Amino acid sequence: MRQGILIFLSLICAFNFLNCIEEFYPKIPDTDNNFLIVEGQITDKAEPYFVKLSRSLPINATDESPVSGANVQIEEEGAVYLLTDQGGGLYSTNEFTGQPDHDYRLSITLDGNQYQSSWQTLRKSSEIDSIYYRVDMEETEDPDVDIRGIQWYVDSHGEASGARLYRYEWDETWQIGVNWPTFYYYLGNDLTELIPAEERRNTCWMNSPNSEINLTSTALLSDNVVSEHPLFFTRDQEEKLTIKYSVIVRQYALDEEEHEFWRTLRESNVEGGNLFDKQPASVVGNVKNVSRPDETVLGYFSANGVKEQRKFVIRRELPNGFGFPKRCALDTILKADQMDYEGYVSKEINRGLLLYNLILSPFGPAVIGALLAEPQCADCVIKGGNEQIPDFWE
Amino acid sequence: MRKFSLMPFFLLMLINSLYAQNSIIEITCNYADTKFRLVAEDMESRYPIKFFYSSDCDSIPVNASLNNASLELFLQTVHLNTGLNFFLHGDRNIITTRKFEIKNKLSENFFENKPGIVDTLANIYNILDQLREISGDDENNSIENRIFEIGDISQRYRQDEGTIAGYLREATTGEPIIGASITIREPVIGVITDQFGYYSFTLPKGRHELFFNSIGMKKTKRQVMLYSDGNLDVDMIEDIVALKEVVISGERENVDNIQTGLARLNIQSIKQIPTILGEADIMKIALTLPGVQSVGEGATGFNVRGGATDQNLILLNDVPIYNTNHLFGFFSAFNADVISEANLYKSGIQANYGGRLSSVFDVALRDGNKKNFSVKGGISPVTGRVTVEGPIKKDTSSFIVGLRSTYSDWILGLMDNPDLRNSTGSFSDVIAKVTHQVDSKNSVVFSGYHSRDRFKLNSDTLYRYFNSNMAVQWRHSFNNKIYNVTSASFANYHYELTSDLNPAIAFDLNYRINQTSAKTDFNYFPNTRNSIRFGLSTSWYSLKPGSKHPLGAESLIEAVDLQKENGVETALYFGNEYEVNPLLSVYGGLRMSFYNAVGPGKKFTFQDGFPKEVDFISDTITYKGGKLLKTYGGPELRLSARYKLSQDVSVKLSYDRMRQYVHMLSNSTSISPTDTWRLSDQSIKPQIGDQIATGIYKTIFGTGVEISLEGYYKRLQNILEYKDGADLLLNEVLETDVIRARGKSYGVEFLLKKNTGKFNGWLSYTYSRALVKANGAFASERINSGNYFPSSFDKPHNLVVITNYKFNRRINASLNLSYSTGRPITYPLTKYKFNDQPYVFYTDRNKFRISNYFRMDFGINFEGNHKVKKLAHGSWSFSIYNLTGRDNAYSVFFRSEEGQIKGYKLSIFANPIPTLTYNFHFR
Repeated sequence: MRQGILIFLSLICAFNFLNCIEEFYPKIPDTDNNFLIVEGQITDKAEPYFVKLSRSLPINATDESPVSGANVQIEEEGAVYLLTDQGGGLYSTNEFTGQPDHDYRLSITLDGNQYQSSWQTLRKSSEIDSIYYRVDMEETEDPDVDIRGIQWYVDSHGEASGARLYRYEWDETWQIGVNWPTFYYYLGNDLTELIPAEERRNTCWMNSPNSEINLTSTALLSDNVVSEHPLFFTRDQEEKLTIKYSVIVRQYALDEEEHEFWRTLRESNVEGGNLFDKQPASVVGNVKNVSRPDETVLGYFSANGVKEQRKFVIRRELPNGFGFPKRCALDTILKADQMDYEGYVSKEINRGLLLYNLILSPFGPAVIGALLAEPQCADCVIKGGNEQIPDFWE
Repeated sequence: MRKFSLMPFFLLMLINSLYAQNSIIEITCNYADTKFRLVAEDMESRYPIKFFYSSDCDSIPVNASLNNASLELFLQTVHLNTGLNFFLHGDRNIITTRKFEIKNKLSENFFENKPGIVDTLANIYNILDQLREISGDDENNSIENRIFEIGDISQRYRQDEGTIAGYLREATTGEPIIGASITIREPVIGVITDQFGYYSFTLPKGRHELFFNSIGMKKTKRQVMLYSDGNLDVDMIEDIVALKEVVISGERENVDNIQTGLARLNIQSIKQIPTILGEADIMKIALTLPGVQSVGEGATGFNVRGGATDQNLILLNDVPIYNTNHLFGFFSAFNADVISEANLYKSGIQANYGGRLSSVFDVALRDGNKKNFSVKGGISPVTGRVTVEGPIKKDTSSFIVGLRSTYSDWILGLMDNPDLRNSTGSFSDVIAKVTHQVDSKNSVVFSGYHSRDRFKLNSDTLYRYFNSNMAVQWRHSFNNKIYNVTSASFANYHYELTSDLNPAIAFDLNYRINQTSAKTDFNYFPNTRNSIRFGLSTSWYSLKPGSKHPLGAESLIEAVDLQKENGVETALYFGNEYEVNPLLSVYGGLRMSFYNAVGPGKKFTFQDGFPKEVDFISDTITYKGGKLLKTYGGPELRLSARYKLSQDVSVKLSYDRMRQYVHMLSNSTSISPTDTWRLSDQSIKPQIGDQIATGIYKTIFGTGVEISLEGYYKRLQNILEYKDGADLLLNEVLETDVIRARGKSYGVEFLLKKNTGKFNGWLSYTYSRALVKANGAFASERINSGNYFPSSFDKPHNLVVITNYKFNRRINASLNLSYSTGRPITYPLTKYKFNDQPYVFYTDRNKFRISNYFRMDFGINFEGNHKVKKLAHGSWSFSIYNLTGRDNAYSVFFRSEEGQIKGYKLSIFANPIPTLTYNFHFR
């Protein structure tokens, strides 16, 4: 019998079978629904806050549909703060800072319609004790490929009577270098010129705000303690950990209604695709048309207390093998191989290649060729970075 | 022994009448416990008399001591101490009868009973003629040609009809044969054996030929002479080759029986159909029948005629099973080796069943072999199973135990999704049954079922769930016409979630439902025309809807214990199937069902004019244990009628009302392990369903082809729908997430079935719709603006073709097709950006459909040789599921990923799946 099973197993394995998920776009007819989307958040941190207005689009649309020209204000008992239309659907506050335990409401007048959010109490967030990471592996659809990286966690604690529902946001910044730093411009005929330090593009910073909805609750715990709450995974292969890496984690205090809003938004937009899928839900927020409450208005206006903490990771803190950059090839051009060496080199440089170095003869002071680098190997801006050092960088 | 033979007998008569003398015989004798045969021989040798008697009188002991007595006195004496009757014909011929008396005078009230029939001598000879046949021990007279005398011949004119009752058993194992048909040809009437193999057949008195038919058994018949009520037990012989016949129901059952929407599934047909992963699965077969659908592959729950998965009453030996799933729905709860048959009632549900809206799926367990021990089993890629059975006391009691378990969870390792790949899953179940025949009138059955499932998703949360069922049934026959089955049973389902990856939030979560039931059920067959069933059943539900507790000292989880729920469901029922005339039969049944929600409990009241949201709770009233919180109930009328247009065509009509007091809350489209059952209470009303069904049924005799066309219309009230994003686990105030909805469904079902011949199988086509409407007072209680919308299992067109070809006695192959309209799905119509991420917005629920479903399966069975006496039988089956490898969509979903909306399609079995299974049977 054992033999029978083995035969069977090998048969089965010949087919790569069972559940499969593949990209699929059903035909969905265009709709003329264009619901108002409201996105606004105020916190207790002194900084300008933004409210963004837009309209929903058919599922196949590619453009965006910002809404400008609205009258937007934040109301507090006894006070009204008018927001400035920045264009592009963006409205900003001026010298206004949210206060803990105050109630706020967003009010919008647009095309003769009056929209209002429900009253939001700004609840103070508890303190973040620490954010920290552990080296970990992330598995992929391919059983033979695991991705190495670091998994981030957060610990926090608050008063038992304080807010117990949290949402986390994070913003990653990391320093990148280039494989072939360049120091000279090529002027032709073996002549070079030193690149001024401020024009060198050998080190840059990249930034990526979070895209996940990360929630936690201590409501069912005896203490208002968040312990080892997993935040996100930083993959090693994305060059995030090659030099120095930094992340700021913000913890927002939510009320039940907002927590529910984010939870259903996540459930119906991020977590689909298993056997026990829930019925996809329509997620409606806390803003309503005052005179026509049945109008669908999407999005949320929230007032959250916030606490944040920044953390740096230097490559040498990570285990051996972490943080290797991607390989990049150099193009070696020898005078001996080229009929029209000068013409070829200037054509390549015009194409965007950069001079890494000239090749000198081992027998004397003569240039026998040049080493050229592809721009993405020698120019960190072209790699997608920003030359400007962030102001928080240590 | 004296043998009667016709000619000498008539000759004797002739001689006797010619030479009748009046000589006086004086008898002197001394017999002490002498066998009657020896007495007769002795007397014949000594006196000029002749005894005529049948062989059953041979060994009756005679005591007589007389001196010079008259022949009359001698016969009187023997009559007194043996009970034998003597009729002196002429003065020398003594006709001896045992069970009746021959009189030459008519009984006093004879003409009242049977006008027109005179008990003439010719009649007596006729009886004697039959007696001769009955007693004829001729080797050539097989059991099928012998005449069985039923009842007391002296009662033969008392009434027009008599009732034959008895058991049908398998000759070698003594197992009862369930669902066998017993028919006569003139007039064509018949009955079916019940779950005990018992039948009760009321017939006009006189000579009949009874035909006994059952799938997998050799056909047999019996000649009976029915005098009055009596018993006839019949042993049938297993037909080893016929084992492989694909037959869902008996030959003409669909034309003859009164029920619309009944499908009888025989285990032999189940083993025929190619299945995935090598386990014959009774629930997957149910899905090939018209009117039965499921949401998709991997979802075991099924939907009958537009009903939700929880609206099926699934009974295993009369006890409900709450979770019929094993291992994500790849396997069902029933080990096919231990099952004898299953009946699915879609409509025409009789009054003895109740408690669920859509259907009753009644699975009966086999009895153990009453004569010999035997071991049966099989090994398939994922599971191994073994069944042991045998007598405890030969011919009176037996046991059967079936065990099944997974031996590997390699299958999950093959999944693409890392969450599933890192999961482990296993299950095991055991079914046991002990049958004991106390005496001819009493029998007792103990049965039990236990299943355990565990799976760990992505090495974090461990899910475990358990079914435990037990039942004791006592069956008592008062007489041929009435019997009673009284049972006590217990059903338990519970699940447990344990999460211990992060010690700070480690917890375990428990859910439990117990149902303790008692039932007494009477079957009464007063005459040929009436078949009455009545009884009383009561169930006590006790439910722990959820508790969450910290796990380990470090855990900060705060314990949550939801209030226990209790309820009592009681039903009193009566139903009578009445044959108005041979063409028309009607059934009327009434079930009075009541439900009491019993404390402890909490009642939430909401502010007037506000939707039922947690924010609008105005008051909470807490009730103590034992207090009656709410009573629901009412009559459930069940009506059916069948009219025969001709011998092989009938039309039927039925109406059913059903009430359901327990509800499964499920936010997902298929059954998931954390679905919770809850009881009706102040806020959740019982569901009510009404169904009218009609159909036309035809049998093409001789070719073994059956055709039926059924139509139905169904209306459902108080069914449950859920608000968007409802969270049903550990939800104390359920009414805030549940919406009361109504449903309607209608459809036409066509079935063409060929039962016999080398080529057999069936074709079923269904057109059906299942619609739901949720139109509450508040926007949050309305779905799709309060209009009817298709339910998740609304698949209008559904076609199944099952074909089977028998190449020879040892090899048969089958090829099956299945096609259905894609299930409804909600697609987002609009998208928007929020928090720098794109999201979609779903508007109309179930407005779109996923692509149509098509699948082809192939299977081939190789039997070992068919020597019946062989110690072990082995067989191989090889099947390929989804032969064409079509990637049927299970669902289509959208995710917001890396700043984009991405659409995905999930297919469960997207490639052909070959399976090889080995089965064995030792006896």
